Amino acid sequence: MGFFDLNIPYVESPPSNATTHKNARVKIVIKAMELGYTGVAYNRTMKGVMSDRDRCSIPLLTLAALLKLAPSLSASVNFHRDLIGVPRCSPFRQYTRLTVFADTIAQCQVLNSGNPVLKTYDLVAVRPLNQSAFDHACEKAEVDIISINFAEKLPFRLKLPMIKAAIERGVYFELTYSDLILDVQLRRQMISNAKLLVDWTRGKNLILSSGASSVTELRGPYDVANLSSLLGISMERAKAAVSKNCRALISNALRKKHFHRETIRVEPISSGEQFDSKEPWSGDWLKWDPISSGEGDLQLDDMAESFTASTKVSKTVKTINFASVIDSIPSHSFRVNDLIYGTQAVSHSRDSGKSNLFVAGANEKSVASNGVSENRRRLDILHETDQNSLHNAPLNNQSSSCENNRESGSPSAFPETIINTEDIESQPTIIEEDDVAEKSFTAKETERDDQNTKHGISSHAVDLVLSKEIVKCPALTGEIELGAACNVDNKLEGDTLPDTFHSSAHHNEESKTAESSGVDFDSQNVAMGEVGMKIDIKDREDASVALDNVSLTDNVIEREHFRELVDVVSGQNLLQGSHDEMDNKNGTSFANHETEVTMEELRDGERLREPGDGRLLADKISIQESCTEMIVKDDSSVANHEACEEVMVEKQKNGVQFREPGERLITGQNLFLDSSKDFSVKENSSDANQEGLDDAKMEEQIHGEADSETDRPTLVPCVSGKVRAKRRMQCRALLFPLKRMLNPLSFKRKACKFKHTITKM
Amino acid sequence: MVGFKNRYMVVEVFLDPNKELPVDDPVILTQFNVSKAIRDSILVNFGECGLASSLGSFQVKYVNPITKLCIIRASREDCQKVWSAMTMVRSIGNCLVLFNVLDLSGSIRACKNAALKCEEVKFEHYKLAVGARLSADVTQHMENCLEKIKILEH
Repeated sequence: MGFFDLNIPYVESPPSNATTHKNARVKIVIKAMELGYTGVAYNRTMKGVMSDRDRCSIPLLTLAALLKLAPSLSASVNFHRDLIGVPRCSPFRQYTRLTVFADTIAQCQVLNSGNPVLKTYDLVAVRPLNQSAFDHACEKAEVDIISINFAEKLPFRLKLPMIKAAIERGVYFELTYSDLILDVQLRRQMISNAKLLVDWTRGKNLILSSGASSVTELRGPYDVANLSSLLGISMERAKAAVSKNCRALISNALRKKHFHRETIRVEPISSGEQFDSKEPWSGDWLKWDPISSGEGDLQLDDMAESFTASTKVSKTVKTINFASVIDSIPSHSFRVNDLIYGTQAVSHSRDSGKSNLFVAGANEKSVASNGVSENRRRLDILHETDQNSLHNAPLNNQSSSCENNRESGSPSAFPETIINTEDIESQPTIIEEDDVAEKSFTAKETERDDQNTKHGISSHAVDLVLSKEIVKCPALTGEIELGAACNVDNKLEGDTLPDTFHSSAHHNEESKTAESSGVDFDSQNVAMGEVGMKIDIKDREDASVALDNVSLTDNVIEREHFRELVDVVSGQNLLQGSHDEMDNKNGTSFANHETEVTMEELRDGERLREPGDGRLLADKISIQESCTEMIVKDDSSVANHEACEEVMVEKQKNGVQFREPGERLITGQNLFLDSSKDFSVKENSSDANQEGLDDAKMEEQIHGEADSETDRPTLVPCVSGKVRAKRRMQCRALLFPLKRMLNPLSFKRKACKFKHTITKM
Repeated sequence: MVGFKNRYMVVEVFLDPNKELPVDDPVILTQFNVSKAIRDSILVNFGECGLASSLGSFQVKYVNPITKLCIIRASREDCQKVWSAMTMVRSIGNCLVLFNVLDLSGSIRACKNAALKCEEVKFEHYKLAVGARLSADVTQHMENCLEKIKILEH
């Protein structure tokens, strides 16, 4: 969760005063960074007629300038960020903003989307000076913020229908709190004027900002929230006003600015570039301020390095500098690693897409802003391979590839799955877009498979390292994810969980590492394996269940988004604990159930029990889904992939039969899968149908195992969520009674396999 | 059962934020200083009655002039008022200040733990800022302050 101060006045100074103004600005920014803010906006005001001279010319500050005045900035920033709960590596963002003083309607009408001068600023605000201007601003003006000067007697009246109209359009009202601090008279005026606005908006569409002309007027985010409770805002809304509302505002504004008609983002892809899952679509994170030269940096590394270097710091790089370990990992993973390494306690609710604990965290911002962009659809989770060379659980990119998952390859293939945690925040619009994105990505998936195999091999090592490192930070979701993946893989292979990394029980190395890393690895493996597996579900016939699972999970994941993933991740944590107890079958089923549970939890948007797992959960969900699928499918061994699928399908069909809580979870899971346009699921279901009794038995077996093993405490919190999910899922299941008919071809093939595998059991 | 509840805030004070770093302290923080500043602010913003009702439990329990950390106690009902008043404090004596609440807890024990952690980190910052001028006195003083935290009671 980031905190923003969107009103730092920028004065167009004559050359003589330039340095003093600049120094003042630098000091303010330093102080804002120290207090824990993650973004500021320089506000320039103008009156009268707009001309070309008014184009944005606000120079952004560089890290070098800041460090000159405050060499120990890095340590202080980290300290405060940890206290507040902001991840250390989230970049500090700078935006530009223009406030137009509007007297007449004519001046207001200038504020439309066609105005080229306005396009040069990130945020546009209007300050109405009379009634007509205010009315026009609320109803028609294309601005982001309506800022009213409450420090003087208001020249107009605030009317409720106007305010409502503005809120509906998505315009935010701004309150500056520097008046409260400066002077007693101002305080009085401000509170009496603003009270009405606060009462009517009740904190909705309200942002708090400082308007601080000097450092003394700046206050920390929670202090500001508390101050605003004087005005009548509840504490919760007040905190949102400093963080969530600002972020939503910025993402909306940047989306308008960068997207064509607010929907399509066009960006050139260099022909030489591989279409990498590593390549961050989310690289455009809208919140990644393109005009920031080094401000959007990783505070932790860059500042610390620059401080020790004690020389000039050149921070022109906007990209992330990856730690050596993650060098081979795409930027997404880097963030993940940062989070894993750097941040300690990042506990964010899922809502705070900003939890940034995980890649998702970083992505959340972008996701929120991206909305429609196709690029955002992908869940790029860094699943850096599991070391399962034999794995059926290739980590596949989870982007919409569900449909066209090519076989990620035989167990020997190592497709990489990179899941964008971008879309972690589940927003309804995003889900719809996912479908679109899915199709676009399916093609990519196919491409990626080839690459994946190559990457897989190379990434294994990386992943190993990564996972090892992840192990160090058990609290980190990244671990969980990987662990889950690993576990999944193991399960697929039918290995005991403790072995981890075994898909075919031959990965001693992996298992060792997994063991050493403990349960975490397992969960990671599971997650990873699952992810990989899902992608290929469709294509594989033999397929490792993993593949299927992965594809399934892909579908699911995309739809569900990150919020759920995060939950899943946290769920993974829970799973990890229980992993050790189980043997293959039990373990897998158990893990599956747990993942399911977590998924359920997540889906219902429940708070994570683990601290700071908000984001990770979302990732987990995807993993979970894949895991659950896998586990369900693969009851016993790799060979039983089909069987597992069937089981899963059975489960889906028999959602009601499931025992609680595992049953519910599975049901939900299945339903969930069903609801997603997951053809693989359908295939499974069709296959399952053929099996009939066998499947039922298997299911019950699985459920039984899961139920017995499931962590009661784990499940308890999610019960309510699961119930909800279950109901949801049940409805969805009913919608697909003829799913099996959809893919008759694979249906047949799988049917044979299933029969074969079932008989084995 | 204890019906009377308090809130303990760990607060850091930024002295003279306008000045270039690092400068010698323009004013030494003491319990009296800080307490007076906050009480004045409560009086101005919340009036006589506001001051009277918060005065019962309001106390500055601990101040560390080196790391600029304070522990302030307020009753649960008045905690928000005291916090807002504290945020609105502009100066202590002649020196401009900036209060920043780091932690808010309901028990002295949690507060002590948080304060000790913050003290450590802040002392590291102090040492970084001061550089070579670190003297043994300062370290001794710090030890004393840490001891003081440990024996804090409600």
